[in-house]
Amino acid sequence: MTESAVTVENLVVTVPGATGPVRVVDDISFEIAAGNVLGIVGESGSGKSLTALSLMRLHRSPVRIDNGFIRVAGTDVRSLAERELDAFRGNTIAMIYQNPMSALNPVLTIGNQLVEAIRIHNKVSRRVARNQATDMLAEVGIDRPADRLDSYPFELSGGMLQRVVIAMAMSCNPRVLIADEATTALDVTTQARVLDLLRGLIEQHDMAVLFITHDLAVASEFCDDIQVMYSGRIVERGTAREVFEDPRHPYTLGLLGSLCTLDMELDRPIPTMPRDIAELSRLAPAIDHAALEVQELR
Amino acid sequence: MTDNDGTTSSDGTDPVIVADDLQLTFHHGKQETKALDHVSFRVERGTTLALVGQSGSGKSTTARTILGIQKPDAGRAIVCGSDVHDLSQRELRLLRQKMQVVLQDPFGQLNRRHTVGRIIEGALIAFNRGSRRERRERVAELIRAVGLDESYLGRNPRELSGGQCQRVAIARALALQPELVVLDEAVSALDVSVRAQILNMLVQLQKDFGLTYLFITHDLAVARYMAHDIAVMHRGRIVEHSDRDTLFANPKDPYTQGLIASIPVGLPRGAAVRAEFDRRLELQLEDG
Amino acid sequence: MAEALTLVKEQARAQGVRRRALIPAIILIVIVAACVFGPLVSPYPADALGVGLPFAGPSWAHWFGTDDLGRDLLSLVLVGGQISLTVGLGATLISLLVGIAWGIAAAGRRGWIDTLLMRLCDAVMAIPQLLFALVCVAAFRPSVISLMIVIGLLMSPTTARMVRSTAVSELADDYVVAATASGLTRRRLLVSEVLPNILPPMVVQATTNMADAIMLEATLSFVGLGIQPPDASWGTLLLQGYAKMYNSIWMLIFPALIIVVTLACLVLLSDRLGSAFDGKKVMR
Repeated sequence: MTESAVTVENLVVTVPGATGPVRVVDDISFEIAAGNVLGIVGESGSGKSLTALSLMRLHRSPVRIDNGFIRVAGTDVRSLAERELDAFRGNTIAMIYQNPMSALNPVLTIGNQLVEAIRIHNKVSRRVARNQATDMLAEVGIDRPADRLDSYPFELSGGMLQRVVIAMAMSCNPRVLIADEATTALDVTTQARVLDLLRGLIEQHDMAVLFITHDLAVASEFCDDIQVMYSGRIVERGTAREVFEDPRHPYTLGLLGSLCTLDMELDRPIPTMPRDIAELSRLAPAIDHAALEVQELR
Repeated sequence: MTDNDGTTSSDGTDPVIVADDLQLTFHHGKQETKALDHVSFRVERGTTLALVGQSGSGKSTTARTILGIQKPDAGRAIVCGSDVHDLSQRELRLLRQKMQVVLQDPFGQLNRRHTVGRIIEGALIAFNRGSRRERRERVAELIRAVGLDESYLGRNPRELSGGQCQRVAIARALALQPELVVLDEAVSALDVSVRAQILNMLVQLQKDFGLTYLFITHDLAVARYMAHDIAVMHRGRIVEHSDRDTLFANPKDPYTQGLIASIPVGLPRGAAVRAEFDRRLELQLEDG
Repeated sequence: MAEALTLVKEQARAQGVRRRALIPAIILIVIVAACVFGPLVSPYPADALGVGLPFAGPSWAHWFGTDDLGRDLLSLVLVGGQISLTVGLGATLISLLVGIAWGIAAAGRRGWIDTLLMRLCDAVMAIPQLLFALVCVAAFRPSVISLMIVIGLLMSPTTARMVRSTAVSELADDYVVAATASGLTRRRLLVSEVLPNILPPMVVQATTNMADAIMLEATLSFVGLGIQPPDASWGTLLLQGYAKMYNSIWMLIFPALIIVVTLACLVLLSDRLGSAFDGKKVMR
């Protein structure tokens, strides 16, 4: 068995609260193999974004990592010095966000920003970098890439911008990609196309991906493995099929039940989360489908 | 308010909204965007019309035109028998008692300097409805109708969750006992579990108060659950408009077909899951 | 989740800002308290001649020294402060009242009224403040009241501009759309919905205005067109100190120092409150 691209063990992230530190990520562990997509699904406040930020050490005071071990592509992330972090974030791990505009500088052309991104990590001439940038835009499916280099971010649509951001993230060939609600703001048809693009890039570059979303439908289509987070803990994990077809945890059941789908029955209320879900989730142990199978075999 | 342009009950129907050939073009320098391209539809009393489309398709502009916030270049928007854009400021204000709106951003649409109680009371004060005490009682009644209790009235919107804010916005919209409520992406910003609660509540409120909804959404599954009729908008035009079952069983327009196809089909639910949902639903129904 | 994170960050930032705003606020409170209560407990009434030797430097008996008539300089500065601060506060209030009405009227009506009101703003702002004040004060009799009014009116266009731009951006917000749709009249919308949201930035503007007002009063009094003897303000003390500079440098230094410290604190406070409110706005 090869080493996982991402290993997280016993991660605890806290923020200060009125009565001492609050554990917003509470003792979670997971692994992602190269070429695999791990989806973290959960609702606001579940701790999924903070998990992602911790992998890149992008969390800021007063949020702090209290405990745990994080290894990304062989690097012990928590032991990195500040000055090593920049190289780590550029070369080993990259992140795309919900709002592509936040990752781009509005007053510089797309080309300028791509060329800069390339030249930070590779010592090549401007001309070479520009050529590479053109290739990258072509790779993420932007037509007339050479012309687009001279566009400013505001001249492009949301879907196009997200493609540019993906191109920038890919510019240094990262081993691990974090997508935090990366397609949430896009229209359905655009979303489908961007996901197709990502799928292709993942296979081609053999990246490990942490895919964070609150959209269960997208997660079920796009991810290999799923873990469901609720109030800082992983309540259920397994392959996408296992989790969505045979959910065992009351929270997962509630979540899937309350989802609007095209095949749902009409003219009766949508099942909602039981009122005592917080209590149920605390009592029910975390469910790991892999462990379940072992039990059932015995 | 009394002018009746023959749009009501002449043919036995009772439309709350009649949009008649609405047109609007936005100019950005030399560029022209057709925001509304001959948009026509009608919504019968007590029913829901969903306007579905992607961002920039013109569905929110349609809503704003119906609400009298955006003036069209041509065409008529008739609400409860009055042409919204043909009224004086005063008459339009009076008509607003019959049409209310709930917007997408749970926090942005509530004034962060007011308490929840004051927010709901605002419209009542504006139209001098009842004495101070009667208003207080009405506000308490409303907050309970949306599933919160009186302890929320003294709070600031900033202390509430997104779902709670949305409930407050709905309570405000119901304060004047409107006939029409425009829901502009009203559940889009909410978490899945909260969204289900709000949708259930909206359905219940519609039954209880005989409300008419103009339900604007980008989510076809939500539109299917909520609406009697669905109009699909694309680039300012209604490309397909039919009742719910027809639209999904037999989408005619290629754009609609594409839209339905691009929804992740995923989530194949096993029999066990369905049984569990049914069991839970039974419990919920028993609870009341 | 992302919102929760911003919330935590913004809270931490706001806390930091609040802590840093504390120092200038405390200094200001000390100055104001000293001016209000100091003369009551001082062993030397401000108008008592010869309580010490003329032109004495700072000592244990007279912390700020004495003036040419042997009066206690600290008592004079505190009593002068009462007038300076009164003029500052009064002018600030006037500038806020006039400015808010002016700005709200412009933002609420738009169209030609807006244009007219804003051109008027530009016109008033284009007149050199000091010159305008000089003419006005010379035309009316200089007194505490007339100074307040003239200075207050002079500062109101800046405030009006601020109010208008804030109000215009608030008017584009969702809550205003929702309130309009629920049937509020334009006037009620402006007064009961938009105005409360404009007040926090107005607190910032008020501290800036206060600093400007105190400065302008001191300047006018320094050139002899402000507070008239026998009343004293920081400006008149500065004038007297300037005249007697070669007899006792302290008569110049202490009034100057108190003005500088007060202004610095006001400016710092305004700056820090400003960033605190910016944080709130993001935080919602």
